[in-house]
Amino acid sequence: MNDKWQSLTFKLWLTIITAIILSVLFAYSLSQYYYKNLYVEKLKTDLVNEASLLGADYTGGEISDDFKEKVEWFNSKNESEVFVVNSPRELSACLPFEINYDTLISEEERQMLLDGRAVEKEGYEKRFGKNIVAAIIPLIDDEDRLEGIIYTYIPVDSITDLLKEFAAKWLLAILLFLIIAIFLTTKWLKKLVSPIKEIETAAHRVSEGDYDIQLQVKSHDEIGKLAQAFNDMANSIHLEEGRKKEFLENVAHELRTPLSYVKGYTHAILDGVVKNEEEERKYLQLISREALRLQRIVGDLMDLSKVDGDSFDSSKTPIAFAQFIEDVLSKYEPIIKAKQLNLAYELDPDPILYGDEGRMEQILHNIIDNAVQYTNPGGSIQIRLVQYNEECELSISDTGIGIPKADLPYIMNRFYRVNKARSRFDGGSGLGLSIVKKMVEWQQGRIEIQSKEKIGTKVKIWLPTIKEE
Amino acid sequence: MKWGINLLLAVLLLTGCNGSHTYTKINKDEAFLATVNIKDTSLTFIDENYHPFADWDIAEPFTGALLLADKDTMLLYGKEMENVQVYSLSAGKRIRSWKTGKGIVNMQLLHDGKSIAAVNQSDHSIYFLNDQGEKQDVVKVGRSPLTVLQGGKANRLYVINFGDTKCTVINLTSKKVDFEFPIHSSSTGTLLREEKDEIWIGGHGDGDRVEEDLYIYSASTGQLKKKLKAPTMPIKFLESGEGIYVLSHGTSSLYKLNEQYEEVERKVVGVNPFEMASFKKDVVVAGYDSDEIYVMDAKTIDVKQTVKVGEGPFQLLLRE
Repeated sequence: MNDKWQSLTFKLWLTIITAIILSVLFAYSLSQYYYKNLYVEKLKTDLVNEASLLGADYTGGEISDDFKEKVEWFNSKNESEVFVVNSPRELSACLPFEINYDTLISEEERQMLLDGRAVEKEGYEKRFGKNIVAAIIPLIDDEDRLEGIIYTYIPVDSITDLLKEFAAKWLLAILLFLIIAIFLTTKWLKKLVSPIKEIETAAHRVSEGDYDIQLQVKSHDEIGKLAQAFNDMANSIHLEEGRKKEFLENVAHELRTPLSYVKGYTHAILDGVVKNEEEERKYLQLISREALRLQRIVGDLMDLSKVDGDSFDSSKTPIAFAQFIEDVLSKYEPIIKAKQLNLAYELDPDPILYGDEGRMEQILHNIIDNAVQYTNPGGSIQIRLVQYNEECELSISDTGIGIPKADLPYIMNRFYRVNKARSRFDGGSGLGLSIVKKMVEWQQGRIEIQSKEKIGTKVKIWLPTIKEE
Repeated sequence: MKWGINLLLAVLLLTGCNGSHTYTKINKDEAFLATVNIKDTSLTFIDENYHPFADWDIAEPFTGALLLADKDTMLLYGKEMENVQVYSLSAGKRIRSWKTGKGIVNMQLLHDGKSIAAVNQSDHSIYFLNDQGEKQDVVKVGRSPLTVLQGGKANRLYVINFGDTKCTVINLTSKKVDFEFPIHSSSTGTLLREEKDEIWIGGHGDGDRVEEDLYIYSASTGQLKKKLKAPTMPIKFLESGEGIYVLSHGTSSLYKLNEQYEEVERKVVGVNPFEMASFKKDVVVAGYDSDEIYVMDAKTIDVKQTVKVGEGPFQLLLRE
């Protein structure tokens, strides 16, 4: 129950209903205000004007019968009641004597009239037994005697009745309107809020591990967008979860193969299957190779995890990049020579990087390793370094076997291999390029790989440089 | 704290000042005509040359004043006042208060110069007070008594009951009701002519009827002797060597009659006048709505002069 009062639906419902009720009240007060201030005030002004016009004909002295007749004639033709009163009794002339008589005008009104001011009245008048709006103007002679008054009034009972009737009908209409409004609002709010509830349910399911859930996006409003965003989020989690799973599978798979070798050959040696020392040595060499491989995979995985986790151990220093590349390449000379490859490089001496030497070396190693590995003897490797405004471009191209177009987009994914056969001999851990990508990005750079099958591959890296002081 | 005490002292001081408010002093030997202005509860004092020379603005709802025999002590009374306030004109301040209770609408000094007849409308009676304000006798009369008039000859007090249809006649010796006689309702204004055995009574008229006549009754029997046309609402009479004056407030008319009850002069004077008096051989009328007094020649009843006074002059007080 408590939840119900705290729910968004209830709060919205309350807000809307309150707003409706307030609007209705406001409208009612406004109509009352207009009646009072516009209608009644206008009526009073009109009556005063009318009486004043008639009063203008009064010429002073005792009020003549002729004048009274004129006013009577006017009264017979006029909508409002108009009459002349000259009885001192009615004009409260006997005050301050306490005459037991309800005079037409009160003491205050008499005083106002004596001062030459018109009197406006509104309300129930006992004399006429009805609600009236009235105006009284004084007829004062030259010697300031209040000889009489012109009293004019309009009964407003009919209007008041009309207003009452109107108010009753209005109240009924409002009641009906409120009921309909409450009904529609409730329905509409339910409809409006139901997607939120669906999202809530879906979120619970996602938290329980059900990532397949997809919400139906019914609208294009904020809630619709929320549902869409939720779907995207669920998809992402799903995808990430898949990747993680795949990654773990890959890791297990990658580790299992060399481990099986190690295990197999070790058993062979221990079981005495080995025939001679030469064979034993060959086995031990194989075990050593697989152990190295395991070491490399584990090392790569650790690097990857560090880059992922932002706990990358680094010590950044300024690096003269051209020199740095040359130093790395010098290590490759024997291998390149052995594989009969041509190496050509053109290095701009300008670029100075601010980076971690170990990581930079790893980047270069991983790329050059691939180039050397996948280029057939007689092929060539070209390295080029150019300084642009605030960055340098390093491109390493080979005339190797290239990467099929279909594989190109995924080449930097973890454990992705072009050669699905996963030959232990032609491939590394399958993590090399993903590590390169991570490390380049970590150094605020970017990487692009262009390749054509059987023609060659070109890896381009852009890295920010620092200006020489 | 200190500030609070200072404030308290200031308030006490101010209240003290208020209690002993001093007005313009009126010399004992100065003749005057004063108007009791009930709209702004003030008194306007006018000298023999019709120059207003003092204005007493009194913070009490008084409706009438009475000058005692010493010609210096003035009583102020009002229906809503709990006390009759006693002022000394020469001192220019209040000197005493007489506890009478609410309801006093009229006070009259009797011929002995010591007794005062106070008309009390709250219990429909006449209080007889001595000159110290002590109640000597109370006589019950008709509903809402208003006007009283003393007859010297038979030592009687005629009480016109405004809210009743009878006049109560009190024997001043025995302080008992001598007799009553029927009169028209809403009566006010009287003139006693004992030598002619006449008591003239005017009025406003009852209900929506506006009184057009004045009535002359027998002072000894109460028999209606005559009716005279005096439109409309005759409420004040005055007799002098020149004749009899009748003031009708409904039409603001002043009539002058001769001994044969014939109208010899007629003038419209004042604006809703209620009060008339004879001062220095002139006839003075107070216009309630115009806040003015009108000084008229007693013979021709032509207005010689008007004097602006306080708001709502309702009664005239004379010292000659």
